[in-house]
Amino acid sequence: MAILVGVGLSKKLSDPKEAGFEACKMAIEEMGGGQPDFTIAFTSVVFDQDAVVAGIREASGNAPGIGCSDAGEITLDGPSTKAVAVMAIKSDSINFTTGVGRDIKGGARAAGKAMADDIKSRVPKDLRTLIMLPDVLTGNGADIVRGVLDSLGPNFPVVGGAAGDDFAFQKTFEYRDGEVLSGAVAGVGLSGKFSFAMGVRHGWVPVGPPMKVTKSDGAVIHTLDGRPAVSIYEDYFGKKADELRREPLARMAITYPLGLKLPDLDEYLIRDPITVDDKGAITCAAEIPMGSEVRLMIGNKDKAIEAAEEAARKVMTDLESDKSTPRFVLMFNCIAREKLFAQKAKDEIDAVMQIIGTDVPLLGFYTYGEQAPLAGETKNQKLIKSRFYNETVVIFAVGE
Amino acid sequence: MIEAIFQISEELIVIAVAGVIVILGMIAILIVQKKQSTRLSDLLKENYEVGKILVRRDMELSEANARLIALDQSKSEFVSIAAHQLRTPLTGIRWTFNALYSSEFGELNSDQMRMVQSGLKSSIRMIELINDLLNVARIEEGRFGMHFQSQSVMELLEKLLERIRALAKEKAVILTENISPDLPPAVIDQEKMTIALENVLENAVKYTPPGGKVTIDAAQTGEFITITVADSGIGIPKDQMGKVYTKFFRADNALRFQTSGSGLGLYVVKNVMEAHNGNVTLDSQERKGTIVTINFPIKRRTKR
Repeated sequence: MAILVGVGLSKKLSDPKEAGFEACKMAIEEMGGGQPDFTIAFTSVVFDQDAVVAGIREASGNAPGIGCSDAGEITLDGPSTKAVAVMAIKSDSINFTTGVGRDIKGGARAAGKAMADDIKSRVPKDLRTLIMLPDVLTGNGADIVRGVLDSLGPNFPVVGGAAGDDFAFQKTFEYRDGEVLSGAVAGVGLSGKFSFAMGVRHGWVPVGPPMKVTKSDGAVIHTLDGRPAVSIYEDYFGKKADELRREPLARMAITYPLGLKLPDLDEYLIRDPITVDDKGAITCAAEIPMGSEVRLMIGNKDKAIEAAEEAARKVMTDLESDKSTPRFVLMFNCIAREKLFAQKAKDEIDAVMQIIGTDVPLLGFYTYGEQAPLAGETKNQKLIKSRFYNETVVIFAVGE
Repeated sequence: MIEAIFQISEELIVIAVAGVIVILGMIAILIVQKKQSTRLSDLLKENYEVGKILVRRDMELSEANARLIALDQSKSEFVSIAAHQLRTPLTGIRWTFNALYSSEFGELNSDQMRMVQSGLKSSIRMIELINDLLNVARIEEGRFGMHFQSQSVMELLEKLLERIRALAKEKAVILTENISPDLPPAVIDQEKMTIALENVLENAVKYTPPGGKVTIDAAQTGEFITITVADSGIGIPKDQMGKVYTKFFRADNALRFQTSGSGLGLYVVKNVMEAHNGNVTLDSQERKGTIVTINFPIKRRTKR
C-alpha cells in the first residue's frame, strides 16, 4: 500500500502545451517516476486551455484527470499567477473515477447530479468522497452541490473549489480526462482504502448591526430591512448604487461579503455579492433564505491566518484519530483571501503547511467558491452536511 | 354590619395599595426598559456609524496599498527594461574593447593597451552590475520563475570553479577545493543556483587580498547539500552584519577595499536559497575573514 504524489509547476507562457507537459513531467518526477494513476491540474486562463491539457495528457501517458482554470495556483512554494500547476498521484489503495456535468446555465442542480451520477455509475467500490470543480459564473453554486447530494445522498462528504478566470469573472474552464469544457462541473470520486479529512474556516468578522432579508429569491436578495439590497453597500461604501453597478460588484465587495448566522455553526456562513441589477437587487454566489439575518463582514489578515491554522489543525486531528499521516493536500482557497493578503498570501499557505508538514505535497488554487461539509465533518455520517461557501479556505488531506 | 363593612374596606385598601404598588413597579420597569432600549438603539446606531468609518477607512487603505504595489511593480519593470536596454549596447562596447585588446586590428602600444584594458574591465564590471540589477528586478516582480530539475551539483560546481580558479589565480589568492566525490544530484534550478554560488565564490575572491586563502567545501549532510565558502578576506564589521541581505548594502570596509560591487549579491543569494527551501548563513570577523554556508535540500519537499 502506498500513495505516491508529486507536484509540478510551469510558467512557460510562450508554449502552453509545453507548459502543461513540463508541469506534469515535473510532478511525475517528484512522484518518483512511472505512470501516474491520476492527475489534477489548475491553470491560469492566460494559457490556451486545450493546449495545456493536451500537454498534461501527453506527459501523463493519458492518465485520467480533472482540473480547471483558476485565479492563481497554490503549491508549497506559495501562490503563483500565470502558471500551470499539476499534481500526479500513483496509488494502489485509491481508485479515481472521473465524471462531468455539462450546461450549468441550463440547470445547475441537474448538472451537479449528472456529474455525480456519471461517477456513481462507474465507481468500482464504495465511494468515499468526491472532489468537485464547478463553474459558478453561469449558475448557482449551492444548487450544483445540491444536485451532487441528490445523487449521493444528503450526508455525503463533498469537497472542492469553483473554477476561476484570473479575477475577470467572464468565463471559466473545467477539464476531465483530456476534454476541456466551459460552464460545466468536473469531478472525481475517490474509493478504496485510505483516510481523509477536511478543514473549513474563514475568519471574517461581522461589522455593524444585523439586517433582515425581507425579500429574496434563491441567490437574489431583493430587499434588506425593506430597502433595496444594494443600500447596504451604498451605506457602508458611501457610493451611489449606479457607481457600484458600473463594474462587477464582486470586484469591489469581495473583501466585504455578507454573513449569515446559522445556529449549528461557530462562524458566519459567507455569501459573496456578485452583481447588482437596476432595482438594487444583489445576486450572490449562493442563496440567502428570506427572513434570515445578514451582516456585512470584514476581513483581517491575522484572523484569516488563525482561521486557516484552525482548519489545518482540524485536518490533522482527524487524520491522527485514524492513525494516519497526510500523503497529499488539496487547498481550495477563496480569491477574496488572496486579495485580503495582497503580497502576503504565502504567509497563509506557510502557516497551514507548518501544521500539516512542509514536506507534504500540496496543490491548490484561488477559487470563486468552495465546497465542503459544514465544519469539515467527515466522521459522523449523520452530521455531514456538504455546502457551498465563499471567502473560505477548504483544506482536504488524504492520508494512510 | 358596620364592622363587616370596615373589614371589607380594609381588605379593599390593602388590595388597592398592592395594586398601586404593582402598577407603579410595572411603570418603573417599563421606564427602565424604555431607557435601556433607547440606549441599545443608540449603541446600535453608533456601532453602525463606526462600522461605516471602519469599512471606508479599510477601503482607503486597501486602495492605497494596491496603488503602492502597482507603483512598486512599475518601478521594478522600469529597472528591468532599462537594464535590458543598457545591456545590449554595453555588450557591443565590451566586444569592441575585447577585439582591440586581443590585437585583432593590429598591435597596440603599451599606453593604448592600458587604456583598452581599463575600458574592457569597466565594461565587464558594468555588465555584471546590470545583471545583478536584472536579477533583483526579476525577484521583485515575482518573475524569478523557478525551473526545478534533477541536476548534478558536481558538474555545476566544476563548471563554476573553472572560472573561479582563473579569477583566484589572477589575484594570487589560494583556492582550496574539498568537494565530496559522493555529492548526489539535487532537484534545483540550475541557472539560479549558479548565480547564487557564483556570487558567494566571487565575493570570497574579491574581498580577499593577494596571498590570502579561499576554501570551498561541498558535501551531503543528511537530506541536504551543504556548501561552505571560507575566505581570509577583509570580513564584515560586526555592527553591519544585520544589513548584509539588504539591497544595495555594502559594508564600509568593502567600499574602501574594492570599489566595484553593487551590494545586490547576498540579497539575490538569499532569495535563490529561499526559493530552494534552503538557507544561507554568514559568519564573519573583520580583518579575519568570512564563512558563508549554503544549505539546500536534495529533494524539493524536504522538511526543514
